Amino acid sequence: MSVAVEAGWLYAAVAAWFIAGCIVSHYARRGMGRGVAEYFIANRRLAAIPSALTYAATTYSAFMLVGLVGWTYSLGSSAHGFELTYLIGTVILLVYFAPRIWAAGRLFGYVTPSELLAKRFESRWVGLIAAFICVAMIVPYASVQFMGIGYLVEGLTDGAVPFAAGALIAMVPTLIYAYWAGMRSVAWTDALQAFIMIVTSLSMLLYAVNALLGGWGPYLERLSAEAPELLKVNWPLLPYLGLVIPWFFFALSNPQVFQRYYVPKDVATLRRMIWGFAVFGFLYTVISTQFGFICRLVVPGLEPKVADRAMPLFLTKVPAIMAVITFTGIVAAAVSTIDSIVLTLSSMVGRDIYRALRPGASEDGELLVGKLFIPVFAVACFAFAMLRPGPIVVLSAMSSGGMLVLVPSIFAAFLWRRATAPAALLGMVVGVMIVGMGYFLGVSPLGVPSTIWGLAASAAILYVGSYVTKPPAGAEEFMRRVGEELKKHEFY
Amino acid sequence: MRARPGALWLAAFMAIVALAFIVPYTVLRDVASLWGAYAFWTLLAAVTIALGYILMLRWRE
Repeated sequence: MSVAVEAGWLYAAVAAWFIAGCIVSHYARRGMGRGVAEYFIANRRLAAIPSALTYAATTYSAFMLVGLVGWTYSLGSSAHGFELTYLIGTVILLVYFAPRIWAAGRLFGYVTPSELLAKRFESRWVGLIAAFICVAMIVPYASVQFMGIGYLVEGLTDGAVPFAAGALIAMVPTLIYAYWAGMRSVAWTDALQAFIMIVTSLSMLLYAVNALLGGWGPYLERLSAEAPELLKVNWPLLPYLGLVIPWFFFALSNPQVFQRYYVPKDVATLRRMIWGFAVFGFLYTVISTQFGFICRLVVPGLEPKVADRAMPLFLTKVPAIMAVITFTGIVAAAVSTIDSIVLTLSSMVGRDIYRALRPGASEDGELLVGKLFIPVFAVACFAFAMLRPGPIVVLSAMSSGGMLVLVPSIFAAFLWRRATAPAALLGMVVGVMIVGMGYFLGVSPLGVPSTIWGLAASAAILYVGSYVTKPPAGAEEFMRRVGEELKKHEFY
Repeated sequence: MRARPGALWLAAFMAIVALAFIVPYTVLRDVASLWGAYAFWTLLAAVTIALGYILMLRWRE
């Protein structure tokens, strides 16, 4: 039997959650200073709990309890492998690159990811193009988060709460949390959202296993008996690699997480940020993929194409109060991702686009432009979600792949002093064009996804091009000073 | 000749990444149990997090 959730319950839960976030934002603003670094990266003084939880809540979006549940529903253990391989890659990249980026940020005063590239390669065009690629790739991804919440409320309430209201439920808090106190309000509300995400999903999991499936023993017996194929590895290797590889480098390719390496106040905080994120990610992944298996038993029969409806459908099979609690956790996951994206993109517009085009601009001017773009990005994502243009889904799907073309330049910035700006620039442009053509034309040459071709092209052009062009004069100095910091803090 | 500690950590992490693809797609491919690929990926992620934590312990202010 399916039970639609009453609209009043849903609005009440969202209102309570939103007010809690506003209170947290208000307290986060107290003692806030002036300036771009203060607003966008909390003046590099964030404590361990907000650092770890904003990293976790920014990384894990509504995709986990909707998309990943759907993938596990149709593909089984492979989806679990995909998400944990992403986590393995992220932990490795964090342990190696986060201290380098953290140290470089402090030494040279970087605020945005693309600024690091622009200054390291001594070319504002490198920063400008990197910023444009990020904006073009992430806005559609953020819009799809709004769409996800819109569809979820529509399905849960049997249409009593329309799609637009659902998208608005996600947009208004995004705008307020990002604008109120910049990184401080985003980080502290993200900490609240991360807490809500883990508590609500774990409560629902325990309820589902015990109340719907008779406990862990009977649940696992039923799973083995009714869906044994789900426990095998049945995601074909090449498409699997095509998805895993872009996500493996997520920690470097996505600016909203990259910017978070600038914020921990000291080395101990940086360590706790990485450790806290990793434990959170591990637990949240296990919970999410377990829901995929549970949905397969509770709401069987969905075709793979519509498997992302498994979680919304499952929520109509549980008491309304449990559905509303879980829904709030999913909204928290969506908003905590989008507010970070909006804030990071706004900082990139101010620093990497506005200042690149007007080199003499003041810091106040940059801050004003950045803050103006917070509502611009929030409303643009909302408008995209409302219009639901066809290409948005394609653009969203290619977001990780599109930004993957930045990764060779980020590696080279820290590892290869010979790397040059023209080679980095050409590599990014050609790489993103290859990825885009692959997605829009729907082609995968030799069966290899275009994301991998784009990455390979970007790396090859960077490598070859750097030997025929002149390296930046300051590369040696950059490497030396970062190297000294690595030694001082005993980073490997 | 002694290997540098950084090289050993790199080798360990590269081995983990290789195992994350090779083992599930070969020996565990057709094991229809949570104790197959599902448990392997879970264990490998836990080991990576533990190794990362150990490596970070040496960081100094």
